Amino acid sequence: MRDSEHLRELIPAYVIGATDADETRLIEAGLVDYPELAEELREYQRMNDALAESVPAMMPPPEMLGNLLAAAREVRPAPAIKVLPRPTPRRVSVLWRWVAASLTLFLVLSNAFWLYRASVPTVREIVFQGNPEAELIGLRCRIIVSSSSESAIMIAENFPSLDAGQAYQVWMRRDGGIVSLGVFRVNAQGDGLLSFTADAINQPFDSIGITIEPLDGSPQPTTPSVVRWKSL
Amino acid sequence: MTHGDESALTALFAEYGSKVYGMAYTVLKNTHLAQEAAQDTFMQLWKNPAAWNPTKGQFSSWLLTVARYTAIDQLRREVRRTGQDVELRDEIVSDEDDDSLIQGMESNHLKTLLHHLPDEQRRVIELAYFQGMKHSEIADFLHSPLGTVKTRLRLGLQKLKDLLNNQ
Repeated sequence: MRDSEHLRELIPAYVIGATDADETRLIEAGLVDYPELAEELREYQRMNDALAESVPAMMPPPEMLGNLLAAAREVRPAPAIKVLPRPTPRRVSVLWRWVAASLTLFLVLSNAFWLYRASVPTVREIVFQGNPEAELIGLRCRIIVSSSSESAIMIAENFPSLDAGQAYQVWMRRDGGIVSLGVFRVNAQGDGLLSFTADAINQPFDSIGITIEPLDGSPQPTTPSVVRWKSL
Repeated sequence: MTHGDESALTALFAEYGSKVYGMAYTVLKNTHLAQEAAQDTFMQLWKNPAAWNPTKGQFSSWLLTVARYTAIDQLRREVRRTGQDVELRDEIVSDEDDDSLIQGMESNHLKTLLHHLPDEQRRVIELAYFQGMKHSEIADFLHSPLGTVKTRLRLGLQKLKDLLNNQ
């Protein structure tokens, strides 16, 4: 059976990948025969996107970024541009070859540029120059801000382990006031991650400090900073 | 990323890491497995940066779909490896979850959406969307007639679409 009403009923399940193989084949053939189903399909694809976006974001384990970068170093990405088989040789003038090559190069570069621009944000990295005490024990801290992103991520390394009820809390001093950027814990290697809105770091500020606080954080710092960074 | 730039990978992680990990954790309910699935998701993009192009829709939605299917594959491997059946959960984001890990005000959005649905519709959506089951697999799993499963899934997704449209 392949009437349009039956196909329409299968579209919601098809979009989330829940149709059995025979149903999937039926719909994919039916979308050609019944172009009026395309709008229904688009509506459910929008629902599928919105459903994915509604899944709660969760703080990844602190070691995940390090593991990801280590895995990435093992594997270089495949080239985005495929080498096409060499065409049958034909007599072409040298000038025409240069024109064709230049045009091809322009198209490849401009496409690659726009694909790159569309898919990958540019990145700004802020490395903390810590106070001498922090330098002494090798604490490292940096913030990665993506130009197109609404979020920034702070990567802490070599931080001392804490008691079960404690966490590190990050503070920003600005215009005489102090605000919390959030709390994070570190793993056995002393690595931790904290993400926060990029707005916080994109506005001028005086300094950033990290203190040890209770697990849920404190309204104000209650201990001296383990690391401080003054804005230049 | 098309040039194998690690800072671009870090930027992507900064922007989408918590969403991708959240999706993987929602499917797998295990920090170790979720980390593997989230890492695999980014690695797929790293190995083949041209996998996404603007015709595939918004980058974020596409990446989350890759994350969902990667996590579902991992779930299936885990079920095969341990020989245990998939656990049927009453709630996707259960009360036992560590809420301190969940970021932002949108944290309960999915939960709120799903609770607008009758239990039997919510259950088939959870099995299909988060555990990757097909119509016939859901029917076997729930010992329900195939037609009933199809109807519940269709009506539930229809209602979700209306709810999301009205927001």
